[in-house]
Amino acid sequence: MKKCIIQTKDLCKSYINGKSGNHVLKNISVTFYEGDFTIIMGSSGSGKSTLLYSISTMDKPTGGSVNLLGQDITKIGEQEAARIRNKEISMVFQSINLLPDLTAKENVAYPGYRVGKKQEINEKVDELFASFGLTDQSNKHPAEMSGGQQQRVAIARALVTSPKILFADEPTGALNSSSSEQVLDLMTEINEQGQSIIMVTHDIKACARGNRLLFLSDGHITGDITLGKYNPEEKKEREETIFQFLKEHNW
Amino acid sequence: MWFKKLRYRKRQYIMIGSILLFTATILTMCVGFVGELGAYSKTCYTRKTCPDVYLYTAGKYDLEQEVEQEVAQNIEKIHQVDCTILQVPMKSNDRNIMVNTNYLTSGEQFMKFVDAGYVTIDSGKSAYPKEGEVWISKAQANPNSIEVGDTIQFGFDTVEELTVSAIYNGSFYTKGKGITIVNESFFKKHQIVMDRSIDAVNLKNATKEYSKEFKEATGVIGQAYTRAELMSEGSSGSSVIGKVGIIASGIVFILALAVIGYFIRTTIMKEYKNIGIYKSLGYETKEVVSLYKKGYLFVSAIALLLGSLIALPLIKMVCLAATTYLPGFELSRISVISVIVIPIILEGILWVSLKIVFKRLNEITPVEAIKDGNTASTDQIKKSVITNAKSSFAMAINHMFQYKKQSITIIAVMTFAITMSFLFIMTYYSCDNMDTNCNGWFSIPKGDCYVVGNIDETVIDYLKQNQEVKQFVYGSILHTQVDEFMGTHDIIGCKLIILNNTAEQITNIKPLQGRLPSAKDEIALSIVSAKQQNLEIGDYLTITLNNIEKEYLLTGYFGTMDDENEGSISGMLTSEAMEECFPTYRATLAVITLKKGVDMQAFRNRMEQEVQGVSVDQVYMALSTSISSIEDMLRNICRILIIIFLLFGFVIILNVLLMQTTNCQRQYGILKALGFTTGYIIRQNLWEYGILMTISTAIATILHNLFSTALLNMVLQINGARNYTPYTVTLALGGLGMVCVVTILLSLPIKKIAPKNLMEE
Repeated sequence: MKKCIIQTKDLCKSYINGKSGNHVLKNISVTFYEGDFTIIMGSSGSGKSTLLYSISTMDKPTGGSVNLLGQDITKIGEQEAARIRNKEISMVFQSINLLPDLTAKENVAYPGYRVGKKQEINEKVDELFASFGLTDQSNKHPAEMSGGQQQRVAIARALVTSPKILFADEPTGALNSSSSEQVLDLMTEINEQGQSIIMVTHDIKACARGNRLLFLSDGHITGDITLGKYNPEEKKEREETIFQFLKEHNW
Repeated sequence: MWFKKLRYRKRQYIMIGSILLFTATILTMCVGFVGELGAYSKTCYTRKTCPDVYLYTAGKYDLEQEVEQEVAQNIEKIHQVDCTILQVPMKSNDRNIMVNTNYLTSGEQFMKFVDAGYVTIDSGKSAYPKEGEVWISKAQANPNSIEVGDTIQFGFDTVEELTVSAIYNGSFYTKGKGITIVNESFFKKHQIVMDRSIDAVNLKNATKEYSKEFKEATGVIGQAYTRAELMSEGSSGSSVIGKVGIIASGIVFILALAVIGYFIRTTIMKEYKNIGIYKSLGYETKEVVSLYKKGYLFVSAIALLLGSLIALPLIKMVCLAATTYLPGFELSRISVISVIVIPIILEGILWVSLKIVFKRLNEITPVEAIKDGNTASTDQIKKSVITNAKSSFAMAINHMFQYKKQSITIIAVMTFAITMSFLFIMTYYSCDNMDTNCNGWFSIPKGDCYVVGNIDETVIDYLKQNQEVKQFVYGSILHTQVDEFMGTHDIIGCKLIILNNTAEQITNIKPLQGRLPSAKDEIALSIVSAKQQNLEIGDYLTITLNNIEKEYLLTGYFGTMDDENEGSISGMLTSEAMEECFPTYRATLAVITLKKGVDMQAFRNRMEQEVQGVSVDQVYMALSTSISSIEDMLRNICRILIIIFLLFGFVIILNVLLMQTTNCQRQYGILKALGFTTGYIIRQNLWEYGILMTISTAIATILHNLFSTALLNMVLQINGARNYTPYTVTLALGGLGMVCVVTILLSLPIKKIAPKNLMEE
């Protein structure tokens, strides 16, 4: 029996602008499980990123509840939210969002120092860099690296704190296909090691890496399929299955 | 399109606008003040409001009979007010009203000046004083906090109390002289005879030369003051402060340009991507520049004009403070011209500065700019100073060093603002303590107490034998006629400081150049007198005093704010030199330094009991009363300038902090997403700006200690500038506290904003 890591109940998110309001998420109730590589997909404006941010303490929902690792995050204060973001979860962004003043190594180590001892973190950073093929980049600044390299550094930063859940918002959105493949391979690898990942994407190739696919349409979850473990040799068939599923949901 | 950009970047334009508004206010105020004062001096001292010469006679004379026919023929009109010198003290609000020479006249007599237009009634009734009433001048009233309705006690055997029914202002010579007006019955009651007069003389030919000639001709019967002398005396002090204000506001403008340049450059860097997009869409550089320039020039035009308009009431306020003892100041067209011209000049300078800043846009290629990241420049790629940084302090240090240019700009801005504030606070303190620093301001010996009276052998022996006296010096400060002077310009009178000992360790008087006289054939001159006469140290000058001609070696210059006007000199001689010219000369002032631990009040009481005919005070009262009006005026002007410059410094710092927190929004979002709290971010900002402010204060303190005293002394031609550490420490700590408070307040909104929203640009 899989362990539940996130459960939402009647989750709503609206943006009020003057007299008009934009209701992006409408009473979403969904459960995410430990060890899954969950993909959230949908058309542009369907609320995918909004859902991701609402369940990860990055944004506050306007209604409903979100139970994240046994805690209702709609009721917590800023201190507790910061603790969760540092120790329990981590984020990978489409626009990467590395700190431009710090080197690659410093970017990765910086949040880690709040979780563990400096020496241990430094060693972990070196390990991550070695396994991600980034050792040569460790003393470079983000502006001196390619997009793919930057995003891999961002993933290393997300993993340095050993989070229970990794959230990713279109991590390959700004990358070319070669870099995208590298990033997706990395994420598949860490998921196989037991890392729970929740990823928003509109890329079918990225979709295929997940073992569960949620389809969001007009603020509701209208589709939910389980795909099984990713096998590179069955890539084409998997993509075909996904394509059919999406077609059924008018994507 | 440019207007849309203006609306989108509202905050930044408001910041730039507020800095320019303040700059325009300060500059217009200072320029307007100096201009108005100069113009007012001329209108205040026209023939309608001021005679060509005021003559305070030593007796009752028929002026036309007393002078040579040639001079008498030049007399057009005389308004003669009979008067006498009041021999009893006046007291009000339990304080002595100290005046060097207090002239007493009747209302009937004084109305001659009122009818001639030389006097305006500042407050109270305009019909001359009835029995039981008295009029005094504003120059006497203000320093003694006297208002209409207060009473003044005259120290006759039976004290006479009169009620102040009016306070007047006039173009008289105010330094140390007062004119008190009472009812005719007062003279009869106390058997006082009006034995002299004040003559307001209008000449047919009122040029400077003829006025001076008249002054020389009447030298034997009294003390004369020409209109030019009165004009100069009325405006010199405040004019100097105004000129210092103009220099300071010039620095303020340069500072403002530097800050605005920094703001605009930072915006360009943030807008790199957008600029790249414009260029890739086919916009030429000049079209892109025009988009930004229009917004800045539009905002600056409004801000500069508004700022100049706000300066109008400030000009009036400062001018009223500077002309407290002169009749009815009103703004003239000079202020209006300043309000129009200064914004135009400033806008032009800003336009040129924008051109320089925007030159950078030519260098940006579309590809370079669209590339992800804040900037295509390699400037920001710097290594961290503290590696493996974790704490907010370490990150603050790294941030400061990584953004060196920015840190240096902030330090430069804050250092200037703090240094200027220190300078003006020092000016205020120095002005506030003119009488206790008489050695610096007036080259009068400084001591713990001043003994005034007949300083004869008895007094000198008493002081020599007194165990409480550490050291003392004695002499006089007097005005005397000069019979002949072999110099560049004719001199008919001089103010002399006579001392038996001019050694600095005793008198605390430091010459501006050279040394003070130590022998009977030596003289020092005030620097202004020496320059007027084109005399240099080492020159010999021949002066005939009391018909005794002597040659003196000019040994040095001293500084004094109490310089004599054209036609007179200020000099310093030894007692020996004075005795040679005036065998009956006696000292009238002794300046005493008491031993440590001696109570001054107790010493004073004892000495006044034990020695007849002297009065002992903590300050030199004759000086104190003559400068009280100047002190008051300069203090008020300094107060206004300090407030305005401190406000300007605050606006600059506030805007720099606002810009910084705005620029770092995205960074704050990332930090929050990584689990850092708002408290951590605030601490990092506090460390960074606290360190920058501390460095700025340290540099400002060094600059202040090195230059401010010398600068103020150089501008005022004195040695009177005095620093008061508690003021500067309070200002420094206050500034640091303010920066910390503002940093916290500007960082607090981050708490409520979700990380996602912070990261959105």
